[in-house]
Amino acid sequence: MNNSLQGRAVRICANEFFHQDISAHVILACEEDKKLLLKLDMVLSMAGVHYEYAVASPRLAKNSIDDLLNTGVLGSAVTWVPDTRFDANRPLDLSWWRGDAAAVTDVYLE
Amino acid sequence: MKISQRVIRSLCLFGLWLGLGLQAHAQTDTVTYVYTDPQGTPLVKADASGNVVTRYDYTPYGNSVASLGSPPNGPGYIGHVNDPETGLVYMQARYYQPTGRFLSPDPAGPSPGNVYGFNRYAYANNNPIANSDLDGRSSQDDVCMGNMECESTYGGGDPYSGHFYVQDRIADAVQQGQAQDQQAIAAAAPYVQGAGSLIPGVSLFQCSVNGCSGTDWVLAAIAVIPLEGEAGTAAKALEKVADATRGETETVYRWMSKAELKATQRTGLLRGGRNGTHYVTDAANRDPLRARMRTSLPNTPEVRVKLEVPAGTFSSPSRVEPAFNMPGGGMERTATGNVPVNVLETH
Repeated sequence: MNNSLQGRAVRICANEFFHQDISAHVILACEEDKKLLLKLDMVLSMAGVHYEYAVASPRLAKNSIDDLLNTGVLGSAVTWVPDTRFDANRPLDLSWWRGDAAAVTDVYLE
Repeated sequence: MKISQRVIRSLCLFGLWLGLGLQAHAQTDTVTYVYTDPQGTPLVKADASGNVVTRYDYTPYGNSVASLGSPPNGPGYIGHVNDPETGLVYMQARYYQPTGRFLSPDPAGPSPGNVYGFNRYAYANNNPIANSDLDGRSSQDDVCMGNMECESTYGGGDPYSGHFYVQDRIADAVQQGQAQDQQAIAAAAPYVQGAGSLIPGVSLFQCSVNGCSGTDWVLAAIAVIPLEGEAGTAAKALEKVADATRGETETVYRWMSKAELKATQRTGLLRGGRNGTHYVTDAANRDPLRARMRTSLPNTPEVRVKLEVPAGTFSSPSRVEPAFNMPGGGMERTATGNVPVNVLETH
């Protein structure tokens, strides 16, 4: 857990999945899993699927989630979680993912 | 009642112990090298010393060989993701049953001149030896017809023939007298030998090393071989060093979509000048699926682009973490801001 990141506002840079920046807040920062749970400020609706959460993890081994605090930006693998897939007990679990709603992009600290 | 509470307490303590143990295990950093066959099927996993840890094998149509244990929970047949719960293989556009048939019809449809396309459920034109299916759509673009469309960068279809290229480059280095240091070459040998026991191309590379010299080239190669375990990758390392010594530009690779290629060509800027971090590799992954696996991409890219960029623009390589059900493990370099590029080659 990384308490200093929790609650901080972030911005997911425009990417292949969604062509505009997306504002969000860090809900959970897990250093062990190297994952951030982000709650989108506005629910994203695409093709009838609603996304309220996204999970971001550092793309490269040299990076950690602390880099978001230290440098203000983190090159990330971001997966948007459909509402139907979100599990409050395991919010960082992405084993269900089989495609779509994902991108390699940057997460900026606001 | 007392006994029950004691049992419950014991179970809680056991659970706590197990949880802490698993957590400690998860934090252990281990290095694993994955070796694939020419079609991209992971067959061997080795530890940091090159010792084989796990072996997998498959029948031509993708059934795992039972005597070698269960198929991996992750990339398996042709590099596609196994789904152990169902025994199926996830090939992106469709699920594949390892009997030679997909569960649903081909969304791409038949193409003129390809009679096999009329069977909308068949896998790889009923010839899994010569052909493979990169994304579940058996179109001409995706299926390698008799390897005609499966050529590796330097090998013309032979995934191991990158070593000939390595040999040539080292010979060039010696002729040009760029560096001579037998000590460095001797230091390189163990690394190369370790990988060479599994990769024939690297064995030949070692022969080249023993017979030649060229410190910079060899050092660059050994920096990559233990990580990538493929002669073609060593070739790219050599090329990188050559670029750095010759001029002010260097050559890198990036797999991308056709739309991104157009934007890059139109603007002369990497990724069409989009904001954010740019990722490139020194390794020319031979096919889009391999590129997707090695660089943990959420989608299969469409085109491999060889780019000339200003030297020193990109960072030193860093390993790509697993993501999107892909194992990662490739090495990528990053840069930000506008990066002017010259498109040298597309494939």
